[in-house]
Amino acid sequence: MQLVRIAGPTEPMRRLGEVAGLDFERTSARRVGEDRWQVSGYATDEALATLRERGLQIESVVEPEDLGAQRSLLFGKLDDDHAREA
Amino acid sequence: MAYPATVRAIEAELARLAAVHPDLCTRTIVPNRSHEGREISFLTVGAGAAGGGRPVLITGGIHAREWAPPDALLSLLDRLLRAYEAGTDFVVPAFTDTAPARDIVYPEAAIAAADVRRIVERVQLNVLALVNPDGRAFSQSAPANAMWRKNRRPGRAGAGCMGVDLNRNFDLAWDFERYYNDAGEAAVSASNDPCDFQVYVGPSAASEPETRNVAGILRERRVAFYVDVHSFSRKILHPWGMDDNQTRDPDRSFRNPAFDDRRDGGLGGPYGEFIPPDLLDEHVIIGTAMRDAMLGGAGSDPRARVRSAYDLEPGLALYPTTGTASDFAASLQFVDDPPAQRVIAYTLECGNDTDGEGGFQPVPAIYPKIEREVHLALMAFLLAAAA
Repeated sequence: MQLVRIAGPTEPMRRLGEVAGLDFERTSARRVGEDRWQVSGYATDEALATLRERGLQIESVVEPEDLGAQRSLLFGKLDDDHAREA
Repeated sequence: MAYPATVRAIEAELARLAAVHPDLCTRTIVPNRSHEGREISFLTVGAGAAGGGRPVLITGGIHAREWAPPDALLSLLDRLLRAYEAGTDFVVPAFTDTAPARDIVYPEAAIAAADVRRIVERVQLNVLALVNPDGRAFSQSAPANAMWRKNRRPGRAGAGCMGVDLNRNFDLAWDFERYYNDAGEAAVSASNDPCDFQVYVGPSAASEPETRNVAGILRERRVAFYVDVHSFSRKILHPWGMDDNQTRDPDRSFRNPAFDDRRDGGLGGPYGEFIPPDLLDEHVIIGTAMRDAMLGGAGSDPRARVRSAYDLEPGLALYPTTGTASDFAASLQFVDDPPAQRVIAYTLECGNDTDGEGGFQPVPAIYPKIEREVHLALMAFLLAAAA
């Protein structure tokens, strides 16, 4: 999974909710040109393949290894907290 | 309380604040426990006569995976209460982002003690920092669950898909298939499929205990100013999210069934949702103050300023939304009996995907930057409520 920005024409961008493995933030939608929008979200490899098949442009913002490192840091702290609370 | 806080830590911090400041705040257990049986509480802050003051509600944590807002709301309360009791300024500490090649310094910012006093003495501030504790607990249980957004409503007969998107479950345009025409229905960010991972609207309007808790506070306290804090996209959103705004035709309204199956939910489409011009103006004025407070708090470094630039806009952009908390709050001034007073309502989307801000889950090193933006925006909002 990685954090990406997806851009494309209005109609396919309005149907992003159909894409399995894509968790996108709807309020991140920005108009970036005439009939062109950009949205940010977290995508699996499968979702990225679907998005590319639909002709949408993908820009990686946080690569999978960096996202994994961020999650490890956060869950390390949470695991410690949960252990203390148990 | 260190970010990201666990569900237990959040409730413990609410209890601590109430115990340390008994003359200034009250902790109230809401009527409805979560599906998993968790007790949920909110704090009411106010030094006005008999707990009077203009009623304000701020909520966070409706979406489970958005970890920063509940923490930022609790630290806001802590700073506000301590500043008021000490008679000092509300101080937002300086923060240095060390991740870029050259450090970016966000300077200390302060809200004057007189303004702190004005807020605490003129506002009845209600803060429900964590609306959806079950969802947060699940999201924080394992990395594979980190993207969980909904609550934890059990699936049918314990076997179906779980969870409802609470921010699609409020009783406003909830029945989106009836509300929109085909184009609007295709575009709306809502689903009747319980297995939709993101935006399942629930089996009925306000079906969820967590939704009813928020709606109950809005109605019973006759809330006049509301902010629902989410992440991410550096935006301040004001009504409406269901459709494009228009200020000319009051008949084109969510209340008017003549437009059912005819609303398009699009920018510049044939249907526009009515918002009185003076109400729209007031949202823009207060939202601008919130935006300017965040930008002003960034100081003079252009890199800090560009990273603190929030957009103020209506909720509708590419995707129409129904059943959201902030639009529901705003709708009450048009539907409640007796009529509610004027309601100003926003969704604050804090943080961003870029600049190392981590999207839904910022790492602890950048969290203070997001926290300070939430504090600066909400203090500007509270000052407007206290005016």
